[in-house]
Amino acid sequence: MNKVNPLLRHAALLAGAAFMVLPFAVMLSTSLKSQADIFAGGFSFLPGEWAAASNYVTVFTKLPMLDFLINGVLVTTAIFCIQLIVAVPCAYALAKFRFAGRKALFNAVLWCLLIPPQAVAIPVFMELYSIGQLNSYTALILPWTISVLGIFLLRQFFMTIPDDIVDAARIDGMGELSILLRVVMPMAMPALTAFGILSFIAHWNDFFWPLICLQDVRYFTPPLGIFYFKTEDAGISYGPLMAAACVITVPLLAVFWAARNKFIQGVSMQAGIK
Amino acid sequence: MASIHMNDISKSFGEVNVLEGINLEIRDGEFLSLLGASGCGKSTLLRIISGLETQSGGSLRIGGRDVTGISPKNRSVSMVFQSYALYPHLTVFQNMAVPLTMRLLSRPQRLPLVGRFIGGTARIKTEIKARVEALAESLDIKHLLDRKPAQLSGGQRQRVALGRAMVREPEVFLMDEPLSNLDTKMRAHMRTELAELHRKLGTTFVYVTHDQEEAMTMSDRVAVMMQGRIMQVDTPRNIYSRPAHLRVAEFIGAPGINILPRTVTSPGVMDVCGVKLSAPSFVRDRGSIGIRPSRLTVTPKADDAWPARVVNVEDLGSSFLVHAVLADDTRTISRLDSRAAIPEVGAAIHLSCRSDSVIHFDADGWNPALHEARQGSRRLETAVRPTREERHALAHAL
Amino acid sequence: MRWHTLYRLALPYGLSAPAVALMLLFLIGPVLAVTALSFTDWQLGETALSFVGLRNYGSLFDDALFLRSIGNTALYILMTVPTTLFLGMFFASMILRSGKMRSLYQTVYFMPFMGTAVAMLMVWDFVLNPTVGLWGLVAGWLGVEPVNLLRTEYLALPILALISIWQNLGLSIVLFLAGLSGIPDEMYEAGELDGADDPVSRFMLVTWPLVSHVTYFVLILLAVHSFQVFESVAVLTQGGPNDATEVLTYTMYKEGFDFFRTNIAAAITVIFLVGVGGLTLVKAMWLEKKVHYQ
Repeated sequence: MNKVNPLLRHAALLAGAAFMVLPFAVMLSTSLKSQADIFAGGFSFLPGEWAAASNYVTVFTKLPMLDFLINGVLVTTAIFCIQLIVAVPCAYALAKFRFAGRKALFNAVLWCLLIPPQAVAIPVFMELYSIGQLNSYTALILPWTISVLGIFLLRQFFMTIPDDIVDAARIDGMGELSILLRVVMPMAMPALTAFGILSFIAHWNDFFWPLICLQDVRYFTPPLGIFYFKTEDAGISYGPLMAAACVITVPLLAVFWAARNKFIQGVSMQAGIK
Repeated sequence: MASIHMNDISKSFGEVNVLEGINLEIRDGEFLSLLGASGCGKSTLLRIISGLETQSGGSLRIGGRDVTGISPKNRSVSMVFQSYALYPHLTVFQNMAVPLTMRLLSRPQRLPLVGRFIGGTARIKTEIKARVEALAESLDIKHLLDRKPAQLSGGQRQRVALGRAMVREPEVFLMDEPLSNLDTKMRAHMRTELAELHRKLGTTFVYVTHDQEEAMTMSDRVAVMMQGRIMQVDTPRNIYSRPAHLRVAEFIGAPGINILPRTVTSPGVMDVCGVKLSAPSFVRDRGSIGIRPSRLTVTPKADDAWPARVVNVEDLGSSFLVHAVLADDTRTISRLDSRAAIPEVGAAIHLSCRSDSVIHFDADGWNPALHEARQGSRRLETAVRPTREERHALAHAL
Repeated sequence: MRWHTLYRLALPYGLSAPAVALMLLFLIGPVLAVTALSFTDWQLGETALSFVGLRNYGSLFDDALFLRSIGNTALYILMTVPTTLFLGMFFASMILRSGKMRSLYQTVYFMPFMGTAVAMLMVWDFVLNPTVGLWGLVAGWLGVEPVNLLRTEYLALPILALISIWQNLGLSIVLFLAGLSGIPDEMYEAGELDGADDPVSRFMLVTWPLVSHVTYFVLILLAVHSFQVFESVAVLTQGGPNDATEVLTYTMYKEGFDFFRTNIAAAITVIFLVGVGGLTLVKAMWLEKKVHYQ
């Protein structure tokens, strides 16, 4: 493609980029406008009448937005921590041990990769119902504590760690768990980061499952919170709604910008390309 | 300091037998090489000594203690790996300190943050630091202690790996092709250094290699392995000049040994490619003889010399290699001193050798001279010598 | 056998036991359960159930809404997947050669994927609003009637597809960039010496064959993604107007958790599972092939 005029190329790329950024710009600008300004006939990017303060204050006073954010952080963190505790040892066993049943276990992991989360919603709903844990943090966290994608990614990465290093650690006197914690985990940081990023994106954004298992606003995560806000409000106070969207989206985007290369690497790793 | 005693060790992975009937005694303080082509089982044997693998049968004693079922940690062995296997996330100092930390500090003392408040931790850590630094000094890597392995050259990594193996003063050093990742010059240098290190420490070294030059130059004794068995254990000189089997003779030496078919025609006389030579009494029937290239010389026409035609001459600087074809199309190589008269390509010449430099092999490949000489001897090497049935089986397998 | 040997034998089982238990509890068990349920008449809250064979499936295929739902899902996949795939490849190959700007472009195009989906859908809802949104302004420039796009039967599904393309283009670009940057420059130089010196023949000779494995992966990933479309329907159209945006997951959600007809929802789930499973099976086979390479 290097024979294409560079100016033309940049023009095309900039046009595409503008389209990508457009909704974010609309979100930001509208979150700063007063209700009157929004409805004062026709859209404009620059606010005519500023109401940033009142919009953002509304988000945190009329709505338990802070609780939503705390719930989101709490749930995603808990999910990822437990996923790690479950997936790392299993991936390590799959990658570095020879044992009867290893092949069957790995096949099971591959088969489980096929199961879309919506498909297990009904039985999992019933399981949680039967132990009386619907509408709770348990309901939000427990079904996601197993990540077959995590097991798969980590197993692939652990395979690239030379057996010699594990053997050297054994001769140096480390026990199997020390080896996992002191040698394998530090070496697998890129894969662990990728796993963390994929897990975080998936569960911070998840809407389907919280929508099904929650009734109590107390446990709402940000996506459900903003959906609730819109339906309660009949969806016309756009200023505060866009402010709420900003509050949910911007911190995530800020983290993404700060660590964009790690994020993009992590997502690419999913395809097993890098 | 420890001797290693292996009694009838075998190892199989599923259906595949990797090692069979390994009997070997490695003496205290000896430098022994396990030499063989890849896949011959030499690395597996080393891993069994280290405790990383468990043998399927037979027993293993290190320093008189039966170590079957004992973890690598408790065997007082250390190992240098082909890939060096340095921990990439730790500095050189931390890499070298690991074996000491794991042994000298108790589990709670090793905990991060908390560990230092447990009695004695500080004192032991000071001791570890002193020992690592002293060793680094003697290995000439003290200036590298703060670096990570990725920042080191191949030779430097090699030294760090050695340091990590030496730091806890094990009774046995195991080395798995430790020089094969170095360039030629560095390899020659490290060879000398390892040999000197062995003399200085006086510890038992078991050294696995596929490189005959390494094995021959450094070892007290060499064990030549083929297809999961030890073919011969002897000094490098004897392995070269008195190989126990045709395959050993062919494996050792570059360029390779000349193998010529022979038939005993009447007692004391054998026919080798059309030339009558005298045969010792233990040589019978058909078989072959081996002549090292340096012993196959160009001579004037004689009854015991083969007429040959020169097909290629290679100038190696200090010597020449003359490739020739005998009357029956057998190819030979002779190594001639550079001061000798060098025949031209296409020239008709005669080749001969002294009868004491002829190595005899029976039809099944074994060297009958060695068998005669060792009859009745109780030296351990003869234990390696297979029974008649095994010789058949082996000859078949090879 | 000493305890060290025994410990090493038991260890891998101990390490994988929690994962196996959770897999049975939340993945394998539920899939079996939902399949079993789809052959019964059980509905949430009932205490008894009986086997009804294929009746649930029969009634689904008699149901015009369900057939519409399947058709819409297929249409949606056809609109989103090829577009996202080819735009992704197109932009990726341009970004690859944009020098210093590469990281910036990549990040900007990836932003929609990082924005919380439901929140961004609220924004789109506003953007598409004919009176106060950006759409009103654009329609004015274009001189067309600012219709309510999401309430127009033949436009609603394409608009949802457009939003999906906006969301997933970055993912497609990032994956293609990873594949494209793996092609060594020598390949292009060799191609040039062989006479492929214009962009098109360069693409056909080198780029296309060498990223084909990425293309394949992205294709399946996007198809599975599109199969699972739910948020945009739930937030923006609720299946309307006139069932024009009724899709499989949304129908399943309504049957299972609005009407509590668990048996019907289970049957839809099984059909959904067969669809996604069929696609992902291809992906898994590809993954396995990768595994064997190692």
